[in-house]
Amino acid sequence: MALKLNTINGDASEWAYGFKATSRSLKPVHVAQVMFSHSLGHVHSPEELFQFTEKPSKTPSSELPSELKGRFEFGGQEKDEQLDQLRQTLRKVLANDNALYSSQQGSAPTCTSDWFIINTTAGVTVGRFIHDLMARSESKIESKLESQLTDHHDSISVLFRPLVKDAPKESATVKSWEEPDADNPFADGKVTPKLTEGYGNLSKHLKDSYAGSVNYPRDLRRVVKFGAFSLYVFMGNRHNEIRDDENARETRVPLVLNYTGDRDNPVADASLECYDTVGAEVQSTSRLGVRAELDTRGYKDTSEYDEDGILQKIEDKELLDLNRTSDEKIKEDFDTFRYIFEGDPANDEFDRLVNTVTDAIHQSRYKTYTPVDTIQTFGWRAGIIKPRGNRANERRLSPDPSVLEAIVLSVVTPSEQISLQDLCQRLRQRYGIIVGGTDQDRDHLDEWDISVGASTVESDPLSNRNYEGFKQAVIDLGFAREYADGVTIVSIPNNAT
Amino acid sequence: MTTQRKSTDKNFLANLARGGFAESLAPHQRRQIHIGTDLDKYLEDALDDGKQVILTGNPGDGKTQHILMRQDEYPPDEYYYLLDASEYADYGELLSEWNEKFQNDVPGVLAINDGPLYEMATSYSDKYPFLQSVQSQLQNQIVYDDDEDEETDFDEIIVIDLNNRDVLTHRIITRAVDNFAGEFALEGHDHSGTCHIQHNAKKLQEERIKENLVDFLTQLGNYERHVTVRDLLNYLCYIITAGLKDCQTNFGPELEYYNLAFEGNGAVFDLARRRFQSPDLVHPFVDSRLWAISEQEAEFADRDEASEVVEPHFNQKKRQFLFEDEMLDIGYESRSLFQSLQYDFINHRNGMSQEGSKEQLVKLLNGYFLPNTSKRSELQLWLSHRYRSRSSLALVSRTSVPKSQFKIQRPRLHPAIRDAIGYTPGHTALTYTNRESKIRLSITRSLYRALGALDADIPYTLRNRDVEQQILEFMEEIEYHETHSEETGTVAVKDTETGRVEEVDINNDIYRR
Repeated sequence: MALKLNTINGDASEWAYGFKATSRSLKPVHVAQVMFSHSLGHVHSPEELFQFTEKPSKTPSSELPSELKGRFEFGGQEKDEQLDQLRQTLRKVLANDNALYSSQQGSAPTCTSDWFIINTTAGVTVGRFIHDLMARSESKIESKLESQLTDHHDSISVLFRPLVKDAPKESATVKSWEEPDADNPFADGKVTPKLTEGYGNLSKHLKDSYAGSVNYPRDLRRVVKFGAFSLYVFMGNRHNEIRDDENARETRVPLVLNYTGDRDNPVADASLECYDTVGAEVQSTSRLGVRAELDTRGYKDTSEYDEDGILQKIEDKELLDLNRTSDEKIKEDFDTFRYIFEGDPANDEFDRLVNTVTDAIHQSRYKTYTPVDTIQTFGWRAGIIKPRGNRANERRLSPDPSVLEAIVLSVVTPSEQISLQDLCQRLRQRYGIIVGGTDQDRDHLDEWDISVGASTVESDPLSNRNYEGFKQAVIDLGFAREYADGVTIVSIPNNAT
Repeated sequence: MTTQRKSTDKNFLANLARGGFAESLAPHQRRQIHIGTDLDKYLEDALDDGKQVILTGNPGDGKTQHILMRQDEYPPDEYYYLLDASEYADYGELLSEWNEKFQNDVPGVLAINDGPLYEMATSYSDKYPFLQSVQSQLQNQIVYDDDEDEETDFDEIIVIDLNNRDVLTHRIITRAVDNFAGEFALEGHDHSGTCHIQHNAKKLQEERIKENLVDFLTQLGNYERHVTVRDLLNYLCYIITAGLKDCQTNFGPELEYYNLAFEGNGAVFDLARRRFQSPDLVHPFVDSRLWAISEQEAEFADRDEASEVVEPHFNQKKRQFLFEDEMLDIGYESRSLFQSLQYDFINHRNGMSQEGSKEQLVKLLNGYFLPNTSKRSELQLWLSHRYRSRSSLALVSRTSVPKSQFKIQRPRLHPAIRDAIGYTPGHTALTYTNRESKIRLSITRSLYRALGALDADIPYTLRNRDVEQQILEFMEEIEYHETHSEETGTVAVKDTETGRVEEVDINNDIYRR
């Protein structure tokens, strides 16, 4: 049986995470669509909306169905031109997440209400995972989301109302997230229960209905931002949670958030190391997944897959099922695979095969999109890491204020008043976030072989400049007040919720 | 004895210049440096009324000084004084003692920094109910309406947060200069005005220089940074002594007060340097005259090196001009430079016409999204909604709120403590009111500046996202509290890349333009 690297890549991801984190196009809005459709239990099929929001350069207004055009009573002679211009601008409202395409399939409009929740095909299993976190929180979060989404007072719903209100409504394909085969991710000590608890806390900050409506799209963004962060933390910690117990570390993968304001200092370097560590951990998770999948597929059988057998299958071009037509490319692919296999230092043939397949998956020549690629791209799209963009390098953990807001709301309840140090402790213990506010920061980083080097120009930049920068960020959110003697109290004011 | 005391005064002045503080002063020194303000009378009235006053704030705010100044007239065996809360190993011991005094109606003054006070008030108010009043007062030191907080009890305990006190006021600075540049600095060392301490002190006593120094420091109070009494005293002592105990009779310009005024360490020095480097202090006429004078004084062989050689001379000359404008006689007054500091914001903050300020602000906020708009009568609310981390491609608006639903509010001290200290707010608030809801947008100097800068029509993509976020969050909160039809409306969409705005009317499921 020939190996399809893409299939192994996806199956390994599913084994470890319970979803295929192998999508190039995964964006926060895809996740939002799935989370919301699962909370609501229904979706819409707004055909007219998609016709209207198609780029006029592809479908000029002159070609729109007359019934649709009949909804526009424009004076003047050039109705089609006016309509083109209007469509050009209005489509951007729903394309604000850069995921609005000509067909509903694969599209994910920016959504403020259920009218824009469609039966999207992207990010489904990932969205189910995050929805499951919400559902398990035993909070009012789903009912609050439902109230918000079935309210149509917001300006975006009003704007598109004539095109969507009568769109066919159908049941959403709601499925529970299937937990990964690797382990029980909700077991004590793992990160998932903390994320669930986070959603429970966040739920308490979401608005209730006011005078019969809940026109507050900011809450939708908060829920999605925390979901995006949850995905990042979950994937980053998987390897440590499913590896052999004796090798497992006791703390979460550290995430040093860079609040120093620049990129040339020891804290920024540590943040870069954390980013790389997340990548390495996700790659190691893939390795465990590949091992499990190859085992299931019978590659542990040394009567067929001993070293000679594997090399022979490479020679015969039977080991891999490559999606190639060019003989030359196929030969190059097999040659590369053989070089990796021959160079791998493992003693056991199966281990060498696992390593070779994993390494091959992470090579660009085999055109596989790995969980490492997914989490890194998704990370900058969601505003967790910077700089954004496919060509950026040396990314660091530096969340947008809107992401930090959702994270803080997930660990502080509405009535609580805690010190900033306590907030830092909660963030570190629950999510692995390190900003310089606790005595255990360095031990935590040491455990993961990450060091914050000395600075020649300032003393302890993690506990000083970075902590101060983080403190200011929390103050700027309106969540903290600074008092004398180094006391900063964190509480969430009513008007913030 | 007198001579010995006064010689110690000079050392003491130098110590203060290096950051010394009130706890280590002899009683006569404490009295001599004390700057009388309304707080003195307020404390005495409170003690006479049998109340306990808690002075809180940052180190250096003058809490201890005020307690020590009271003790002659209100002896410690009859009154309760707490000089330093940090001397107690734990809050339990302190609170037990305080509670006993409180229950026995012993009036007094307690100095507790705001961090520990907040911790006590939040952690122990169940056990000591009087802390509930403390907590409530801490949260209500500043109000926007006098009737905003009618529940907090100020009858037995009064909390005064000295963080809010204006220190850089004309009155306090003038008194401080008089205290330090007077007898204190001049006597006790017989140098006939030739040593650097006597020289600087005498200069500061000259009416014109004193006026300019006071004006200059008062302007620094407009920067949003807390300055303590200790910061001010350290500053004044430093510009007189340079922190040197030994008198220098043969000294150069580096020990002149006008250079020292920008050379030390501390909050006031930071602000002074910031002010000196501010573009507002650049004046074409003044600067060119001072540069010409500096060129004459500087010696340089090569014209190409002139600016490097002249610049230090120019800086010194300009520093001198700020205080000795009359003596330099270049036909311009230094105070005319002082007036330009963020005049627009200060005018807005202090504006006498509520309605005018409000309309101007509504116009600025509308103009943020729709440049060149002159709409003042209502605030148009915009929504930016997306899940990714990037600026919006399009903003949407369909609601306008009439200006009558907004108020410009200037924060003030709670009426119960308004007579105790002076307070200048660092912001105003644009407050939306709707039945039980009050939503405030804090108009700080930086926000006001950002809005004002839009007159220059800065392209949307180059704008500061934080400013926009602040405004949009305020608008989103208002939208939540506004109830509009979900079927009809006029919706505007702004394409942020092109700046184009499309407006459509939606009614009966039909679009019209």
